[in-house]
Amino acid sequence: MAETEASRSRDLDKLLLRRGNLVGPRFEPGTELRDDLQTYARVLVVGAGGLGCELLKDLALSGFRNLDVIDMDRIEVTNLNRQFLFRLEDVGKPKAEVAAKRVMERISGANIVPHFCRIEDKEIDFYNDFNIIALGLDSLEARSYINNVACSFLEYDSDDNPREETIKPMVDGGTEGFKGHARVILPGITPCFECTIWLFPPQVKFPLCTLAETPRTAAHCIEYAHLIKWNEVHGGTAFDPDNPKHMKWVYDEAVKRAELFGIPGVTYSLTQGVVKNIIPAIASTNAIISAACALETLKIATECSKTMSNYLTYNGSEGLHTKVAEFERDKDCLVCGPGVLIELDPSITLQKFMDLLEEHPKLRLSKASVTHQGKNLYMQAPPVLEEMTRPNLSLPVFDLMGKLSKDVVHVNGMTSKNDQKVSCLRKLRLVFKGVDGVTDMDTAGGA
Amino acid sequence: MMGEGLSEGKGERHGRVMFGGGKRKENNGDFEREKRELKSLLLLLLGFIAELPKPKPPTKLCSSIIIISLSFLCVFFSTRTMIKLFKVKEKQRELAENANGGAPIKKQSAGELRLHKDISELNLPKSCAIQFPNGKDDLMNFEVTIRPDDGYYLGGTFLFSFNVSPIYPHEAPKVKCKTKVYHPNIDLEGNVCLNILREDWKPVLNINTVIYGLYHLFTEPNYEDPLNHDAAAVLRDNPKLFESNVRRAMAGGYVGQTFFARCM
Repeated sequence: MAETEASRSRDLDKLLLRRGNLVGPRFEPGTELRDDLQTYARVLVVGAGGLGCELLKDLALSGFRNLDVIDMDRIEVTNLNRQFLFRLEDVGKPKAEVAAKRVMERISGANIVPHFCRIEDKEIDFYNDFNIIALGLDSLEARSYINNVACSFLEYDSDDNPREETIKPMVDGGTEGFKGHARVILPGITPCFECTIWLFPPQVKFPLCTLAETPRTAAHCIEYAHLIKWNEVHGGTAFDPDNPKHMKWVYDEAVKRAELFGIPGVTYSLTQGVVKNIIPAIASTNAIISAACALETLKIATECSKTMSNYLTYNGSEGLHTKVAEFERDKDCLVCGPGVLIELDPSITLQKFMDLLEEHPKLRLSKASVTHQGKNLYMQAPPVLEEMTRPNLSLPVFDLMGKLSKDVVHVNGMTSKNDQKVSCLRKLRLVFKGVDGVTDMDTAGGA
Repeated sequence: MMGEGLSEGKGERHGRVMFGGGKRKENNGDFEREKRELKSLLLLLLGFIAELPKPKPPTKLCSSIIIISLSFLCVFFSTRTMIKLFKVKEKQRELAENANGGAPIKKQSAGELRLHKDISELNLPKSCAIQFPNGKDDLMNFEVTIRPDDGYYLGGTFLFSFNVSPIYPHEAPKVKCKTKVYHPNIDLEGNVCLNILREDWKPVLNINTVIYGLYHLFTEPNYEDPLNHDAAAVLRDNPKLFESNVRRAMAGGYVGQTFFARCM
């Protein structure tokens, strides 16, 4: 055993058993580090598709043993060219389950727990059990959701510094054809997904009237069938992009439309591409991006090297171009920012609280609307909501927030900036004085 | 997936609501002023073309290096490596395994928070009303009623449903017209042709601007962006007939082969 183990970790040992030039100040080389990595590091891989398959394999081969993988999809025949853990006989089975099984078969000692469900189906606490979350996703919504969850564990001390033990590191990979990115998100230290959401170009959306009246491209014909014709014919039935019958119907209609206008180029795969926003995936791009992500995950866990700061882009479409850019945090980010710490007496009413916001030197916020974890405590407008939330004004904020000793609320209203009234949206960390659970202000955080 | 900055507005030729590209526009002004501004902007619906100002490319990369390295230093002052931290946490986790944690709290998405701001700053004219069928805590799904006080559609009542995504305002709200209407820019399934709902949506726009945009579809229907081809042709060729068709449809009756329920 010793011999096979030694040969298996030979490359890893070069990083973990000796000190390199770029190690973190706390790095302690040795076999204990390698053992601890195997025993204590728990990593969640989100997505078991093109990137997810690669990530699971890479992480398992890099010394991580406790892995979980979550994916809601089943294997399709078109996945097989690049999602190399799957075989023809697996078509129709859950990706997470097959991927976990295949990696465990090949890599002894790996313990991979699959979760065949939507990421939203898991309780928030599920995600807190992992030390690092690695993302192999293809949608903004899913990234935004996981980012929100991971940042919700983040707490700040009374000086607005992040408390290290509450940081949930994320490593995010993404690919589109020959292009890809890998980034490290340390909430509270490096920009979170929401800080830089503007990086993502908006989706191309064709004007409906162009689709209806003057189609010029194959994509116009497909979107006509998908957005207009489908509803005309199917009325109540919602279009399901994962239903092959639906997709075939849209394709057939798009072909008719294209013939009518003499437009070439409508194919079944283009139809899938336009409707599902799919760009053909390239196996090698996934492999490269996943390798970068797995390495960053290893670096975060062991500090055998500094982590990348903080966003790598890769473009292999003409030659090869790759670079790392350092993006900035948005200090007022509603998701990962510290917000403003406010200490309150539990007896303070919502009306009194709003008066305090006007006087608060850091806020000077008037006409406040207040929301707490999805509950709207007070709304200035429209009249219908103002009326519904007005009775809350005379109630204690502490009671309205479910008698929690501390939590985050969001307020928006008007504030002054250079003598001009501007509207703003702020995050506040409320702590209630003398309530059980808060003994010192340094534990007053939450996100 | 790639960060290449915002892409450019496309050269589609059709009506468009134009907004100053850079700064977010505050909408605490009165409706009349908004209306005038929009009206001039909405020259749009007559096929006005202009280029959107080009968004500035991101240029703030390097200045953050110092800040970030400083914060890294802070982290490294702590004596435990991440893996030691994991070790401690794992022990804690085993201990806490059977202890019941607090009830999981639903986290608000950034989209919900931004929408909360949009809604609490709504400044609607008397002709527009908003309803929340799922109560005060579901802002992501709501309805807007428009009763035009001018133009062909005076006296009618038109209901729109709004569905807002968790990544709002990166993505425009999805809007459908629930009232069957004889209108050149709204088809019989309720699809609405309004540029700011699709190709010209920008995150600086908000729910207020969308509602104004819808309102203007009724005061200034536009035959150059047809979604209902027949209605557009009639409006272009015979405005008098168009007017009587609209009255007939709103009163409840047939226009051609199509029946419209009364909406007055």
